[in-house]
Amino acid sequence: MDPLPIARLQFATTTSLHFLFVLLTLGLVTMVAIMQTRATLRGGEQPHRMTTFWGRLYVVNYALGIVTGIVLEFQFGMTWTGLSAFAGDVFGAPLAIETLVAFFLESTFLGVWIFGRGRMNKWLHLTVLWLVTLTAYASALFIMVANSFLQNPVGSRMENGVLRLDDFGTLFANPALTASLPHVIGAALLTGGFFVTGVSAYHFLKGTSEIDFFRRSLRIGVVTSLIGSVLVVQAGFAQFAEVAGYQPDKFTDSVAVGLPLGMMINVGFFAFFAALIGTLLLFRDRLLRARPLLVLMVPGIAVPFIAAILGWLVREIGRQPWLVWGKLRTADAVADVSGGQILFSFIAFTLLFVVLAIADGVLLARIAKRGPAVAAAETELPVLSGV
Amino acid sequence: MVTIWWGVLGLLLGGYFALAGYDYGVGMLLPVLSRDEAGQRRVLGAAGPFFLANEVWLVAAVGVLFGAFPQLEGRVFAGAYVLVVLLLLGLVTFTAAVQLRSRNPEGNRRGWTFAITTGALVTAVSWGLFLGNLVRGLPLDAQGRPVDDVLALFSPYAVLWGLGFVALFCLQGLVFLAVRGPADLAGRVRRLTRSFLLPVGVFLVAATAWGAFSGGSWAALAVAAVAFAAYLTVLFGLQRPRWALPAAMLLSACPALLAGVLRFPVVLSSGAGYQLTVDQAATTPEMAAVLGWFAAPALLVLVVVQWLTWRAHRRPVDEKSLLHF
Repeated sequence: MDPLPIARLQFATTTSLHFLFVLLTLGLVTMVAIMQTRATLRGGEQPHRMTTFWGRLYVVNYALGIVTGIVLEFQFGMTWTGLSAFAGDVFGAPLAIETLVAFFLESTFLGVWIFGRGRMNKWLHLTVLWLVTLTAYASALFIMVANSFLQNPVGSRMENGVLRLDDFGTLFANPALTASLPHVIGAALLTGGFFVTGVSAYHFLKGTSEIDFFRRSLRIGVVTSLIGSVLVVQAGFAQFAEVAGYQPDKFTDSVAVGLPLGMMINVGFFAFFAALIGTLLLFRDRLLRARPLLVLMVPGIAVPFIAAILGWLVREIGRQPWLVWGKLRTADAVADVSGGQILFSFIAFTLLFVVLAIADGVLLARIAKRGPAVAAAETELPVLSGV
Repeated sequence: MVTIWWGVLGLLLGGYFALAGYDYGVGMLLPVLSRDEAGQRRVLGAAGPFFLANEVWLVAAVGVLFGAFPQLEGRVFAGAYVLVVLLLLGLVTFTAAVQLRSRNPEGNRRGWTFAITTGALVTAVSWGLFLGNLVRGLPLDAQGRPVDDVLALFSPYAVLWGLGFVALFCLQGLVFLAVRGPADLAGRVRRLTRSFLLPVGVFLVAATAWGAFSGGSWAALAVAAVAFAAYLTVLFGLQRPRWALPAAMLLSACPALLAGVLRFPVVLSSGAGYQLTVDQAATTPEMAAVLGWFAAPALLVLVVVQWLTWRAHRRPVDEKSLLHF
């Protein structure tokens, strides 16, 4: 059995799932941080309750981001041994820094935030949440630095058949990074914004009594969606000129790239116009009475996720057959592990992730549906919950 | 310089076992420690404030392994492929189950509890098998490629380590609960601790004696001595959990440290004669320097924050404790 296609499929599945979770995590944590900032600055009960409710959803989703990320990290050594042997001296640094500086700190600070609720100075508690947010963005930065290096290996030279680092700073000025990083951040804000908007719309459709709570949430969701969609569309188009510089034939040669690309662009414009209309209708709360739009917002939660998968397909399929563009073929990087063993791990990981993703989705849906009021009165046991 | 990075890797990996080890121990014993929901939540809540910060030591260690020793990472993970897969399946199940278990107030939690226990068990066994193989020498061919023989990873020596790790983490989890656990479970924790002391002692003696026949270094002997000293501290320090806890944590870190120093400067070897030295495994000095600029301040912040977290939550769980998990 040829290990290459299975190893690729395994990595693609793990990456796609991981990306979906971290996208929502990144978008949500930003909005929760803004909510807690308002609660800390101006006080008032509602921003405080919003921080708790949306923070609870964020924490659930964070768990899946971690576990898929761990499997992703190990896979470099399990199936792509040729990559570390050939480019480890360059590619390894951003990856190592991501785990040490960003991920390690993010998790530690998140623990402090969860268990510091109501027990820490409120300014310190707010600072901790912003540190969680910043380290989450730092994670995105370093991972995109690493990925951009694979797309366009700058800052390095060939020496005795392996890549050596010339200048670490060049990795950050990589044209494959400069437009794609804002694109990804825009996508995260869009995903978080659509999520908060969709959940709030659901509660209005159900005739919620928490009108003030979800009116405020809806506003933040719609405005974040607009900011995210402007960023995502603008940075998306900015990438065409950059890609032409380092992978000139990417969009002309392959139908496999063209189709998801076209779909992604359509979804992007749709999201932008939806967010724009939503923002305009925020004037005098007209959006709350536009019932057909509220109905569309609930399934709309899925839209950014679909676009995100299409986006990764465009970026990654267009790179083949290269793992490191022009330097290392994917086929030459796969480990000497038998196809049977990789097939076993692919099936096992996929099954486990699917089960966990469903459990995560069900939990998110339950917590979202229950809303803030019941959740605050959660007194089934003599137990105090951090979030 | 390369040796310093090897030390950093040892520190991160040792830190991981010292901290996450008690999480796995608590997870494996969860249904034994308490049958009812309120009790299980308090047991999980004992590890709660530290949980998120514990497992990431592994993530950081693997990051440094990739960044500072790119030639080693691929050899060792591909060489022990099936064990790494088992380890990840256990880790993912355990980590996700702990974090998701108590999130839905109305939900049934029996499935999650089962996932926590099995996840922790699989993780412990896989770590033992993995490190046991490293100590014995991975089944690689003379060029360092993995041999296509899954059963070679399950040698009797490795299986001994797999079982030994279950006892080791359970003991560590119990000693942790003696410090942080709810007061009404203290009696049960003490009884269970006594029953795990013997298996851990047997594992230590057997692993050392059996391993000594395959040769060792002075450094390995020193690690073994530290392990025995830590074990005796746990054994005679049970009345003073504040002493026993650091000792049990050190004890759990010892197997990984042993695998690191056993044949140093050779860091990976196989029965077929393949050997990889630390210099061959390491990245270029420029790259290591870049890494150092980021790693040093990050580690400093982490140790301080995690220490403060411990200071804030070291008292036993009571009705005023935040549980979350």
